[in-house]
Amino acid sequence: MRKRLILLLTFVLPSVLMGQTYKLTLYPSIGADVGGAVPFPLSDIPAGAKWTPSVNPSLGAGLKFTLNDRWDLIVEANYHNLEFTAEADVRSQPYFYGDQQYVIYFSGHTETDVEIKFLEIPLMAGYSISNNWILTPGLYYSKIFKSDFSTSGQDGVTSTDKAITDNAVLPGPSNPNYDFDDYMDTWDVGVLLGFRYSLNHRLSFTTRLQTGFKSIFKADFDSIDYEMYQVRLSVGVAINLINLWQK
Amino acid sequence: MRRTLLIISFFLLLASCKKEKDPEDASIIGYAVTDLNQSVLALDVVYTEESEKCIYLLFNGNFTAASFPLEFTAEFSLTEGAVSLPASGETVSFNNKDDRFHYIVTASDGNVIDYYVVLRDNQIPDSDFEDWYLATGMDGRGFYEPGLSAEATVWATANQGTSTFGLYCTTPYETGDGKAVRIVTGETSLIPVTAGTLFTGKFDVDGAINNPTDPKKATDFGMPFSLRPNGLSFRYSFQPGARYIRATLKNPTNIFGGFTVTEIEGNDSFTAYAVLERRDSNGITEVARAELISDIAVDQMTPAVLPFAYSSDQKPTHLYVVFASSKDGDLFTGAVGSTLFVDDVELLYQE
Repeated sequence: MRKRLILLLTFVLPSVLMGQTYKLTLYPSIGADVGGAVPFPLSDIPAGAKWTPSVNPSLGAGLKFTLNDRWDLIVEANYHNLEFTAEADVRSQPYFYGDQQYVIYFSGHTETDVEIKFLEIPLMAGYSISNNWILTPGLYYSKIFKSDFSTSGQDGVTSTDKAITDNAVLPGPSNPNYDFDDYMDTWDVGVLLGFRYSLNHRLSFTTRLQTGFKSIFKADFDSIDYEMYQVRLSVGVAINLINLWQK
Repeated sequence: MRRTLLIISFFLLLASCKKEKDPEDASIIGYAVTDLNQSVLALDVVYTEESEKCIYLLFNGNFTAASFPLEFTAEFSLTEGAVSLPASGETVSFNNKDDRFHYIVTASDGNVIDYYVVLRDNQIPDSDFEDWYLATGMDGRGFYEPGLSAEATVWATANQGTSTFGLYCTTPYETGDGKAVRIVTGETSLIPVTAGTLFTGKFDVDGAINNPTDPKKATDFGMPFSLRPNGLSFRYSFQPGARYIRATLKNPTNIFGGFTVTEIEGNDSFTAYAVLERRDSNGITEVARAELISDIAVDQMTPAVLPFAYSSDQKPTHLYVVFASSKDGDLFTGAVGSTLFVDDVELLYQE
């Protein structure tokens, strides 16, 4: 990924920028994230499911290439910590194993705790809508350092026989724990759409909505029958610190 | 300025919010028995298992019908501010050895804690396996466990752990003149070999759930016991299963990752063992052990006597007895179908 960025900066940008007035600005940024992982298809979200996100700080830095009056090219490196809990009452939630030959069903209450720490590298275009507002669509790549994903079933019934969990009288005696840490993937890519509001030539406020293109689980994880995609809202402040280069 | 004051007030308000206090614990301390109405039986040790809020009165003889009603005066103190019903100094009465005397202890904050006093003689309760109670499995269905009730029994099995699969490896068996325990090595879609077991202690469901690759962590062996028996006797029969196998986890930390199964030469063996331990602030010291491991098929119920080999002069505090239909079941090794019948477990003493 790093190689690709260097290639982009070395060869592609100069040819795009030839003959233009441009500048290169370095800015640090701080912000806050809130988000979760959304099951797909959406029909797999149990009715009455409750999601409780944590608001966590993020820290990073970016480079903004001003191409012309309208367009910027922006690349950043930001450290994020995505954290949330989800609760749901499920009926015959399947857990597959043995190459999906076998299945254990759970009916009852579930609580899921997720924490993902990662370095995100977004590549964005900046399009000036007005003097202050810039639209920032883009793509991102994330290198995930640490993932915790655990689900605990509470007061339920667990069986390999779906007829039993379909008809189980709840609350039940089963409190299973499922730990998915080993199945969490170490990278993510996705799309983002954001806005940047420039208060003055130094200070900007940013907001972005990101969603992953790929499941947060590894490709070979087949124990649950749906995928989960990262969705995150970030807000932040960026300070244009240094104009590295200007022509 | 007004806005600043508002912000400061908000943070001061947040800081002043007190965390909700945990309910107060209350304990019975120094439980002492006086005026015991027994001349034949002597009280050996009073042992308090604080984690269970249970006080065990360990007697050095065998209870008979003549031992009851058993009465004494109980003297004890309580955590500061707590009160108990009945109070210290009241007469405590038991009508049979399975009674549990109930104290209601109320902490100074009103938190109510139930304490129980339990009698134990020189034998293991329910070791004739005539009484079984109905437990509820993970699948919500009933299955039988040895003893009078979940609260009172000293015996445990791994049935709860396999109940998700509708598998119960340890079950009551009608012999014609009563019941015995039938312990069978089984298999599930998840684990190729799962030994049946019967032991004194508790099956730790949380331990099983949190450590599915280490079956031993699902067992909490032992019951309070203070005597030094000479041996352990029981009656048994055993039939090893046909295919002796070892199942090895493909991923040592993931029970759902599958197993590699290899056949082993020879026959599966059952195991029966008893261990006396001293558990105190210095840790756990093994005081004595009695053990039998055998792969020989025994068709008829046959008596077995296992002498205790003592390795310490210390007074024990706990005893555990374990029967397993495959001796290495905790290592996912055994033969599906290995069947052990056990009955009439008895601790032997020098006359």
